[in-house]
Amino acid sequence: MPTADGVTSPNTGNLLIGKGYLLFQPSGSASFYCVGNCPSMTITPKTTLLDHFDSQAGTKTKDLTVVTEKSMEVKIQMEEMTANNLSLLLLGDVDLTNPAQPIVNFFTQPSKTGHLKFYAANDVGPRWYVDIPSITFNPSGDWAPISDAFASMEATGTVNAQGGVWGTATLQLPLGTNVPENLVLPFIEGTEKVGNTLTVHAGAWVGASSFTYQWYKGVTAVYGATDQNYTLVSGDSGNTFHVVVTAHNAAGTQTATTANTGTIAA
Amino acid sequence: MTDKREMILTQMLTILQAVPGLAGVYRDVGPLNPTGDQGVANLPAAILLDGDERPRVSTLGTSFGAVPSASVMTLDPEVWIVLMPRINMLNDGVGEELSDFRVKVLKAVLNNESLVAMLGANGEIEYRGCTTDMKQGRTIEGQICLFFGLTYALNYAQL
Repeated sequence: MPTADGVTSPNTGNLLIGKGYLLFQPSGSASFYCVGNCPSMTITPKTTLLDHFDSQAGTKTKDLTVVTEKSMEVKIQMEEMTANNLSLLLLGDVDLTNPAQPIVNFFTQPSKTGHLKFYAANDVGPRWYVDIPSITFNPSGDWAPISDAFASMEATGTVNAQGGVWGTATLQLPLGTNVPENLVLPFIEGTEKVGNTLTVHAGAWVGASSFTYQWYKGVTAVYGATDQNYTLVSGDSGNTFHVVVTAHNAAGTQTATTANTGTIAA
Repeated sequence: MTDKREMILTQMLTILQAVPGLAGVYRDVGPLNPTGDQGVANLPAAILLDGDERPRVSTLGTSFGAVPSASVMTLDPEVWIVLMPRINMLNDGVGEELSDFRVKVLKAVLNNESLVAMLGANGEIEYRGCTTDMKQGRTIEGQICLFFGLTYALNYAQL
């Protein structure tokens, strides 16, 4: 039976239809953020060659090729119009003075350098985890605030070799072999006021086949509050909430916890 | 043996069986006639039609022997909703009831974690719109059909 082992050939299990998550940590930032839906990502190694030809007799014959330059490009197509993604395209800083209405300042940086990770989530073909410790992005596409189809933005990064290290690609076990892996922590959305409904989002995971939820008021689990939504009642005012999200698959479970909400208003 | 196509269609039927307000849920039966053999007691009803399966990604040229690589396929099942016919020509509340079932079915399908897990990491649920019989030249009895595209990875070796 063909299985994606990424090692043994011939094996149709090694043919890949890729899916996965891209995480980027700008230099100076404490954490990675998820780039979101990317319909394509390409990694292009390049070299510049210097050829030598033997011209001692007859037709010149190439007898030596030397690599004089090595470089690598990563091109990503981003579909999610987040402030972080716009800042990658527009080489700007994100002003989060008002977190609900961030401002992206155009061209405040000469380029965007950071750490890029790719977590493969495909179930067709081998899963390769890619780690690029240093990459510098420059815009190579457009931002189309008006379009008839889903807009996308392209950014091209040049990999920086640090101490001779460009990056790595590591083969992962097929999905479902290990317990789910959390890439982006779950988070809670909603207005923190009695009568409103809060919603927990699972975050980003690789290998999760289902999720369960438990809401906590302070440090106490709220009995029966196991849905994605929780409606705040009068007794909740003055408290904070968080949710423990449990991801399941055939191999087992893994949990991740949201940050606390602000204090619930009456 | 894992026939994921059949698993997905069975799950769709399970999802429909949990939609509130339906008196009957059927698979692959002809359009329910409110005055026909099935009887009015089973209305409003949902009918799941299997639809077609097509490759989203061609596997042409990928096989080293007879068996091709795993591929990504799209199923396009249809969900028909047939309402209880009204007793007069005014069709009171038919449009609203069709809209209500459209939302219920959509929410049930799009939020079903078991279906999402079944479709897998290379999978996808697409809602492709709906059609109703509320148009000139159609029956105007109270029917709506929702079209879905369910994409999943088909591993031939697991059949």
